[in-house]
Amino acid sequence: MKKSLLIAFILLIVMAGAAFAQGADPNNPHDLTPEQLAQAKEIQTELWCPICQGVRLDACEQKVCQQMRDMIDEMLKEGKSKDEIINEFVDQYGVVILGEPPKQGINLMAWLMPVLLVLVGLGFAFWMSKKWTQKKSAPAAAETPPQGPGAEPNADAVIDDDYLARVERELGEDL
Amino acid sequence: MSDFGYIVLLIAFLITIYGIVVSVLAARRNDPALAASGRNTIYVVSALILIATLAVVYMLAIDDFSNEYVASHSERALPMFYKIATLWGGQSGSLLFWSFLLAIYSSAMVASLWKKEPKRGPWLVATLLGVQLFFLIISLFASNPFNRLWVLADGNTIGAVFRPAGASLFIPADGTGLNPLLQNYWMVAHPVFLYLGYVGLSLPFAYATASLFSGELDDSWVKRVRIWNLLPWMFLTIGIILGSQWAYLELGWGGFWAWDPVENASLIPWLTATAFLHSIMIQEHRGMLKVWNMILAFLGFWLAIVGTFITRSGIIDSVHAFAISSIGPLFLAFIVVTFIGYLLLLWYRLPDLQSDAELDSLLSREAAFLYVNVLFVVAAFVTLFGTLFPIISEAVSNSKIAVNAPYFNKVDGPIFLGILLLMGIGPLLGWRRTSGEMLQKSLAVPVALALAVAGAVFIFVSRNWVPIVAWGLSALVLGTIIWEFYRGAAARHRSTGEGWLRALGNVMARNQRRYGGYLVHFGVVLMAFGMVGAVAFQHNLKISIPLNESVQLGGYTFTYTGLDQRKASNHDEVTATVVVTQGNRDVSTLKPSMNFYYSRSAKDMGPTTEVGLHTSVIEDVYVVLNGYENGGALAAFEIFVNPLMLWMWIGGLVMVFGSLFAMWPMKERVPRRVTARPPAPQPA
Repeated sequence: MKKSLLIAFILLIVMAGAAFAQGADPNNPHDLTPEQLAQAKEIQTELWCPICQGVRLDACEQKVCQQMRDMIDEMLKEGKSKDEIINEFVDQYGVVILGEPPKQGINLMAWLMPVLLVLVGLGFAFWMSKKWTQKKSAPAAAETPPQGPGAEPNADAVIDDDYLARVERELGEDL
Repeated sequence: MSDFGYIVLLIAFLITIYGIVVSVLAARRNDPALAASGRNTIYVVSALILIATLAVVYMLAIDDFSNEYVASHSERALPMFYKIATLWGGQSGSLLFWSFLLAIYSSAMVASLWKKEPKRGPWLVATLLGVQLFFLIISLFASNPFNRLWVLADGNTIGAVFRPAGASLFIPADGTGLNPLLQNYWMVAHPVFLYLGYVGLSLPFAYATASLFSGELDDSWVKRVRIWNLLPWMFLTIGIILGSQWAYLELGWGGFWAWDPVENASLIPWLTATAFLHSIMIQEHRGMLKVWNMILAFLGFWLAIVGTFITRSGIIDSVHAFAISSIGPLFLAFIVVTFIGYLLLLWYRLPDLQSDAELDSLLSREAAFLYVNVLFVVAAFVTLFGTLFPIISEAVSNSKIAVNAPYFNKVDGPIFLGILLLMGIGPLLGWRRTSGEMLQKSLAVPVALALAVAGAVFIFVSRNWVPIVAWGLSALVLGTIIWEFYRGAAARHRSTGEGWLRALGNVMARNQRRYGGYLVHFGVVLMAFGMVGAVAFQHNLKISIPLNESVQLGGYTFTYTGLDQRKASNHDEVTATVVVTQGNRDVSTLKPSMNFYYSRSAKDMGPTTEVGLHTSVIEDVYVVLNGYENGGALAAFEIFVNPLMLWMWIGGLVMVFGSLFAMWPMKERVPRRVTARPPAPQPA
């Protein structure tokens, strides 16, 4: 695998030189078809610079990234699929170029932990609120809300008056 | 000057120890005279740290390259403005700057609270000085800004305070220069605000600790701590936004937030401080969540220290870099000691921290606050976990992984959407309980608005679920805010007969905290609107353009018309001219440039870029010059069209304005607690 990459790389330098001599299109130095160009761009946005932190391959100006972009073009011309290309890069540089933890082994933890934390957090909030409401004594729980059925015909006014009362009441509370 | 600064700092260190001892003794013996002596040490230490800080600034200003910090972070050709800003451009300088800000904050807080807090006061002083002691130890013994340069007998140069055996003083002809990426106005302001935020989070922690130590555990502390949390929170907010602004303008990648560890380190304590901002209201009004508030007051401070540790110790680059860093082990020790110490203290006081009230209903503002609190804290820990995960993975599996933006978008994104949802519903709920019909009535308008927006986005704009959900929820929050403003104004208009505008003004002025909070929420809505637009609908194109030729992107035509070179004081500037048109309309002439700095440190980094930017309420047109060939016959650009970006910055301004509105001292009011609902009209 590594050998084939190396060969591809050497080929690439040779061809790049040739292309330069012919004055090839700087925006398509490897003469890809429009579909291949689109595919190359898609692959570039899914890979990350192996040496810098948090820079996507398509945005990276490092030499190694420029070479990787050229290699993508070459491999597309060889007729390789997107998955094959990505796998070859992973073999070469490690999973670090995927930019996120792969969903297997210890790295699966990176994906399960947030879900677990959210569940624990919401569970905790639910448990707290349950505990609080249960502690409440029976008579208070039976307290009637201010808008009884009798107030309904004029619900609008009641709500606004209630709201004003609340605002005025809370003026002193500063919220 | 180096020695002078060092001695001043050493004296500050000794007086700090004295102040801590005296304050603890004063608190235990209940001795006001001793307590006053402890309090005075805060002022003395602050004055000394101010002098030490000015010493560094002076050395930077006069190019005193005998000082290691000046020699390795500044240079002669640097403009004076940046020379002074170099104080926070490197590690030891920024740690001294931290001490300096802590000194100012401590003095202000103690001066304003001393008379009100006879019992907590000495403990407050002791805790603040304890935090200060840690930073002074770092500055004196691990990362010293007063080191001088020496040439050893073997020809190597090192930085040290005292003359190493057989060494002679070394004064380089020029400094190595400030990192060019930092030579930008945003970058000068950004760390100042960020540190004002970080350092300020020590204040709620100190207040909480003082309450726990003194046993004064009534709710008065949450009332008084509010301003000392809101102020750092606002600074941290500004710092984070300025940091994004800098990343957007200076890094030339078209984005504003990369979820890199340094950014995360600022966001994580912001999230818990935001939670604290909300949960203190529950304790103020209902006397609930007392333990939780104690924990949040600690977390803000602790996570700021953890964040600094992560970003400054080198641990994030690799587990192995940690050993090289001189401050890493000290920070780690401080993190562990404060964590265990605070936990024990809290454990000891736990019996005194029982809730005064119970929750009446799940449909109440308390419940909404509780859930939103949990989501903020979960978001903080999820982000922390993701930031640290590469270290965990490397330690266990020995293979390097990266955790970049897509991961954080996937895990934090849904949590933020949950927070938006609660932002939409929470404010409509009353304290204690809200009846279903009342909620239905108040939710009608916001929900209708949310559905209308989500539907319109689906039909006219995009089938992508992110903008549909995020903009829909933003509309819900917006609807809630409008509804609340309307109801407040309407109620007052009806009862006092004032005109609508006047009624609105009066309701807002008499209720600063509530309406300030809504203004902040409105800012968040604008930011969410802009961010989602820029992320979901960005166009970009990386392309080389021959001179006087054009390319198209997002409905614009970009024509490259020339390349110029110019000399600035410490760098060469190569500027391309790109004419942007839309149909027949001239939009703008952009001048993206590449800067080639002369200094040694900058040459290793390669050139930096300044983007050419045209901004409007609809979208930003953003052009980066990445390179050129044959004297400019061909130039390489990266072009972005970022929709709605401006709204993100406007939203940030609104958030800051809202916090200022909530904080602005207008008139003192006596707070009242909602212990019981006023008698409700009983149906016959």
